Amino acid sequence: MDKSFNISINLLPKQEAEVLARQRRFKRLQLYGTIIIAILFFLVSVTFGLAIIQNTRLKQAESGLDQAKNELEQFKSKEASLLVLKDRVKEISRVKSEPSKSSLMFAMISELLYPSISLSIINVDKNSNANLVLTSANIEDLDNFLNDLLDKQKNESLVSSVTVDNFSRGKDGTYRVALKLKGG
Amino acid sequence: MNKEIFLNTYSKYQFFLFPFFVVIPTILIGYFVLYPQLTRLLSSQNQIASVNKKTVLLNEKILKLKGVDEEQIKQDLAVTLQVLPQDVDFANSLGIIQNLANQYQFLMINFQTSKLTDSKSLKLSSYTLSLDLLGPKSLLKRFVDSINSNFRLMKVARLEINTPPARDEATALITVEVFSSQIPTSIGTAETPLPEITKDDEELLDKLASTRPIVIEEVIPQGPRGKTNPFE
Repeated sequence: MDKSFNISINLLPKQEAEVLARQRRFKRLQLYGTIIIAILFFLVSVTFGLAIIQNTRLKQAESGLDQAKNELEQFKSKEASLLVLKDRVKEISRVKSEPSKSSLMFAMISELLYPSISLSIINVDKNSNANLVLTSANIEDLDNFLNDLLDKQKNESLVSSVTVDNFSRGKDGTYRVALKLKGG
Repeated sequence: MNKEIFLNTYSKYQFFLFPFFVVIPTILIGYFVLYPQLTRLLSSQNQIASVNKKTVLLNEKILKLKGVDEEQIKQDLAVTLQVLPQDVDFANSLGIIQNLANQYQFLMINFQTSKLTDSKSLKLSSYTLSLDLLGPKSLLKRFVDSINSNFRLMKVARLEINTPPARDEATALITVEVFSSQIPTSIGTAETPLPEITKDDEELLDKLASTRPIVIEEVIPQGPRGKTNPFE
């Protein structure tokens, strides 16, 4: 029977073995350091390369923008006309959407007046405050008219308060009322 | 001798010195080269994106402008400039009111104009026309309505009406606010989005165009002007 034994015996002195281990560790450290520096240089060169590519792309994009701007210059007058038109239309529709308050007040009073009541004087200002002088022989109609003026539905929310300034009865039996309406 | 000392010292502290000589340049390069470079890359990426976006917007704008009928715009603009002119047009607005007054059998006894004032809330300027009128009280409401719904942009601001009893007659002091507006001087930058004429705008323009009065331009023969003797 052939029997072989592999026996490894480190005959190096302990001090020498420590030196070798130390050298191995240092070589590993050197390897890591080199890898780190290599990665760093790789990253730096990649970023520089990307920067060059991006610069070219930026220049291309800017030249495209300049081209579009130059083309747009041809339509400058059309654009200006369109802008002015839009501006004008906006202003016109804004004014048209806000009807004249004094006219609304005048129309509302005319609507509510009874045939027996005659309007002698009516003054309506810009804020739809109104002064009225009315004459009528029919006290009931006058009373109803006053009630209508105070009714939110009938006065279309145009009147916030009604003040009777003067109320008198003439020799001929005609009533004369002076009213102050505050616009709502 | 020095070299030997240096080598001995280095080999003694090489486990600390080598990482130090690797880490320090790594940090320095990272901070002073890599980080600014990456930041610049990101910012230029954003810049490219924004320039491309602008180009797309401008191209869209160009496309839209190509589709705009310039003649139609000019016609509409002419209409709106008649409705809301940029200058004070006392004579024109007075003429319009005079026509309406005639139509509703009102007699203009007197008129007064005010100076132009700027509206605080709107981009508008306005002046007022104070009119002394005499006419039938039965037509007064319709006359007032006709001023408000007139082609030229104007509004009744104040009303002072006196009606003698048992007569269809009224004396009225009507203050009319007449509007005008300056044309915008700047049309903005190329990137300013193109305003769109909406359906409502088109309807308003159609309505205005249909109520537009026909202007007949009278040719007045030009004779010699002035007087040789102004006191004659």
